[in-house]
Amino acid sequence: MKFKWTLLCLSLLVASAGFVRAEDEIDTDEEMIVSEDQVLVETEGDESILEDVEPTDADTFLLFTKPVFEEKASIELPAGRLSEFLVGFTNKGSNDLVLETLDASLRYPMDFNFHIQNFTTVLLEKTIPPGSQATLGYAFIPADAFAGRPFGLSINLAYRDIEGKQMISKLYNDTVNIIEVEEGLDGETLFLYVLMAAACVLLLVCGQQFLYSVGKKRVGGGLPNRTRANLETGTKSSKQVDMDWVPKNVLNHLNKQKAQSPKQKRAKKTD
Amino acid sequence: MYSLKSFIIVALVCTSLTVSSLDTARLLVSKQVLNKLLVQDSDILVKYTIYNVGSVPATNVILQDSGFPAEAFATVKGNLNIRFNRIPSGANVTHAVVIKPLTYGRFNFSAAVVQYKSSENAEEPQFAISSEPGEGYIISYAEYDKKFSPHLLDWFAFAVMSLPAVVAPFMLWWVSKSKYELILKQKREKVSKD
Amino acid sequence: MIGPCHCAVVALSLYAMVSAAAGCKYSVDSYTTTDAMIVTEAAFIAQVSVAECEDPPSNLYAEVEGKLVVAANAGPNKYQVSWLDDFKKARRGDYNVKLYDEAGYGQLRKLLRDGESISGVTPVHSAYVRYSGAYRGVWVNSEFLAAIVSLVVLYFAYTFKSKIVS
Repeated sequence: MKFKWTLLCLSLLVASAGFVRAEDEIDTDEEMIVSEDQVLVETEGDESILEDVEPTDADTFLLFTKPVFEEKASIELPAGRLSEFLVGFTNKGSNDLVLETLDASLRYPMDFNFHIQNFTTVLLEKTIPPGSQATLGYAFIPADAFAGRPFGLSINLAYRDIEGKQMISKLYNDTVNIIEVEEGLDGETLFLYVLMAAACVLLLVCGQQFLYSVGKKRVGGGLPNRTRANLETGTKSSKQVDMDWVPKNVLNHLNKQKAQSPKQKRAKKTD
Repeated sequence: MYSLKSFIIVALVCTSLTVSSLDTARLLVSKQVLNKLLVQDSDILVKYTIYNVGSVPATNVILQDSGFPAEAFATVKGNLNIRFNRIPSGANVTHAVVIKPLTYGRFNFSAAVVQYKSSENAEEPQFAISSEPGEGYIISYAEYDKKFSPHLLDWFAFAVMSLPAVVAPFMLWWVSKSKYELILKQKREKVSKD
Repeated sequence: MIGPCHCAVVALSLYAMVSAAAGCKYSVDSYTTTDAMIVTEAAFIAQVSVAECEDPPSNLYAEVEGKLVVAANAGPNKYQVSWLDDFKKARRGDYNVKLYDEAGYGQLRKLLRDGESISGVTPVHSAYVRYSGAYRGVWVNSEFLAAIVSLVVLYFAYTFKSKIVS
């Protein structure tokens, strides 16, 4: 009788534990959808062990902080821009866990073994004591060329336990959309263009001026400016002539003549 | 009968455990250095962001950053040890501190330490460490100045040095011109007197 | 019958708030980023200290231009309000930082949730944080400026020379 009871109890216990476990998973699923702000994906650590299924002591959490998404379904990463996510790691067990590396890569969406862009692998080497938590930050830039296409994003966290057994937790392994950021005309670039246009206009004006002046010299002067300047043309105005050396009487005579000459001319004309 | 009782107790404990592990706050703490350049005696902006991704509010969140030794860094503004009484579920808070490195050289920006109560009836605080900004090289102010200052003084010196080459011929010309004009003026005066 | 009673309650609660706030003296010490050459975002930090307070608020909240910021406790009677903004978005001038205690913050959130104006809630203290802009480097490159100056000198010299010669 007693044996029977215990058997019943045990089976009930197992069943209830199983039920609780299932409930747990449902709850986390719900949390994913209901959560208000930025909660994204929760992957249980035990989904992704190198070896066969065996519950691990790690609990991970992935949160995209840049850009911010409302839902899991609509992960869109801007091409050529910085994307950032945080990884929460909890050691639930009773032994130290050592975080080894964190890496992310873009894969071909049809075949996740085909790498398209690998991002930096961060070496961590951080020991997480039991019951403690750690946050890891990661930032990457999807290449510009991949804009407008879906890709498989794979984020892996490698860690080892106290026995040195390595485990890899697949934090994210799904397709994401790489979107193109359409950029409005920036103030700075606009200013740059205006400046360049102004420089062009200035150059044109200068060139035109130069050509014009050269042309004028050729047509008008016949001779270049400099040679014309050096050419002796004689004294044009008597004021600039040094008259000191001329004797006084000659000078007076000259002056008289000068005063006379217009009259003489006029007289000649009237005649 | 005894075993049934014990079963019930075990089951109760079980459920309470699962419930408590479900209804907890979970904080993700990022520590970022928002600098393009790390320069000696210039500001370094450190930003802490705490996201609560759990289902209940986190209370008594204490953030301590002892990663900036006092002999190498001076705090310009802000506190490196702070406390938030409550961070609601799904919310995030940010905190910024501005520090100033006193020396130059390689520096490893390490993680800050956070402890919080993950649920109302949690007895022990949950310990967590933030993300690490990693290593950075703090350049000396002289080096920064050499690269990024407008070099106005240098250009001024250059202008002064190149001035003689331009001004000397001009002055020579000017002196001779003014001398010539002076003579001319005297001549003209003489002429007009005559 | 309900009206005056309600009013009285509101008045009482208002009075209580004011009297609670009246005892405390707030002083704000602020910092804003001045050098945009080496930092990527503009930081605004206001350190609030409370003095002569019998019952200092356990939590302090701030409202800046419609943004709600939770103040960090930085020791007894000390709080820190900090927020960050893009250099492109941050405007120069005075930012009005309104500080609220727990009760005021509750009201504020309720009003914001209902989409009403929040002018009715009196802050425990309000202060200004002045952002006088950040140095973003020289407007034109000094090399460029020097080139322009030398070109101008050259132009003058050339025109002068041609004037003399002709």
